Amino acid sequence: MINIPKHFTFLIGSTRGKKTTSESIVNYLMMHLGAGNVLCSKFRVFQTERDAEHFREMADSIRESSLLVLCAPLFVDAPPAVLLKTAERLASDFPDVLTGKNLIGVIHSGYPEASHRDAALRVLHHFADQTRMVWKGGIGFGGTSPIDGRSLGEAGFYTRRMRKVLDVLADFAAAGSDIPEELAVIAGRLPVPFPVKLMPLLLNLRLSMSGGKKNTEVFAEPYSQE
Amino acid sequence: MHTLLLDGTQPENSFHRRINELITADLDAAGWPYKAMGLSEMNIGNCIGCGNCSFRSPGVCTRDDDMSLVFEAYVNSGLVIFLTPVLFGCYHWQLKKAVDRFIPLLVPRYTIRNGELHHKLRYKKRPLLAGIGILKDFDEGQKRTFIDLVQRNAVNIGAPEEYHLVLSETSGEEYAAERLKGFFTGLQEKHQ
Repeated sequence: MINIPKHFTFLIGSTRGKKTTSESIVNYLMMHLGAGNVLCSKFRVFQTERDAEHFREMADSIRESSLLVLCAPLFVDAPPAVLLKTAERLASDFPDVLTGKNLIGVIHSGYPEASHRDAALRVLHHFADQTRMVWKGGIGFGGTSPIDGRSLGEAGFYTRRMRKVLDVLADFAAAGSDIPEELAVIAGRLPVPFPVKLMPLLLNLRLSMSGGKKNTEVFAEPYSQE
Repeated sequence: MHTLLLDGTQPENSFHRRINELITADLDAAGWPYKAMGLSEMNIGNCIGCGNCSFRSPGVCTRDDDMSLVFEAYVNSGLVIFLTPVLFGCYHWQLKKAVDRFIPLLVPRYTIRNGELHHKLRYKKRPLLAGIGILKDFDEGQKRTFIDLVQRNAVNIGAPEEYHLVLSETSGEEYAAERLKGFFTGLQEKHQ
């Protein structure tokens, strides 16, 4: 019997270039899935938005895939504009490539609480519903700023739980199963347990020591006419 | 009250154009001077998360585009209106592109606001926020997500008060006009 490999497409929603936390997460998932019988393709939407031919390649890749994974940083409570634009273009110009495909969303941010990422994951869920995709679930990671584009392995102990969650996510994705709610809850926990109420003290101390600018400049109100 | 209308609607859509006319007529009726910015006609790039607005040029985005006009109007307004088609429960990307660039309104220091970790606010005086979303067809789930997003943005950027209204193209212009009139009358009663 011929074993036909599965094909998954990953869209990276970061606008910062190639060395981003979104890319690190996708690379980790692709490494895990690649070890199994899954062909993986990844596209950075800030690049596909600039080039019509590259956008079409992305659409073709989705057409050949059974699963689409959207991975993006949180930008002011929601997915970045460039990812929304890509989603709208796919929905309007290539609706046939989306219908019936599975969709998983991964949103990450520096803010620790899961509540920051809830609306963004719901937006991705609405995208699935509006385009007749099958929503398999969403995962949000908090406290991801220290990763700063390093590979998850390189980030060491700090990403230990994240990698475990992604290992499980990859297994569920490969099986075509729904992402369990419990996994989303575990993903939403901080990489290192620390009371959120004490975070401002710690973070502000670090920032005021490493900022390199006087505090008065950091607090400037440049556009105020009063 | 000086008002900034950040308009993410699509000029080619007649319902959007009508909503725009109704809003500006309501603002005129209230006697509130306004500045309307049609985002589809402005040169606004994506936020690239460079962080320059935190330390290198505090409060100023170093990308050289029309966002400086938005900041100037935003900071000196009493009310900011986000007007947008609702896209997957979110703002349309034209408006979202501008909102993604709002990081200079915050300072690189942290605080607990609304029980969550947030950046501290740069400006002592900040405008009220009103989000007006236009759905193509009524969808309760998308409406709820849109409202949550406006409320979350209000906390994030420190709007002293937040208001929202979701209209749908299928409910027609007459009904939308009534809802908008009621919305602005309510705002006027609270803030005249």
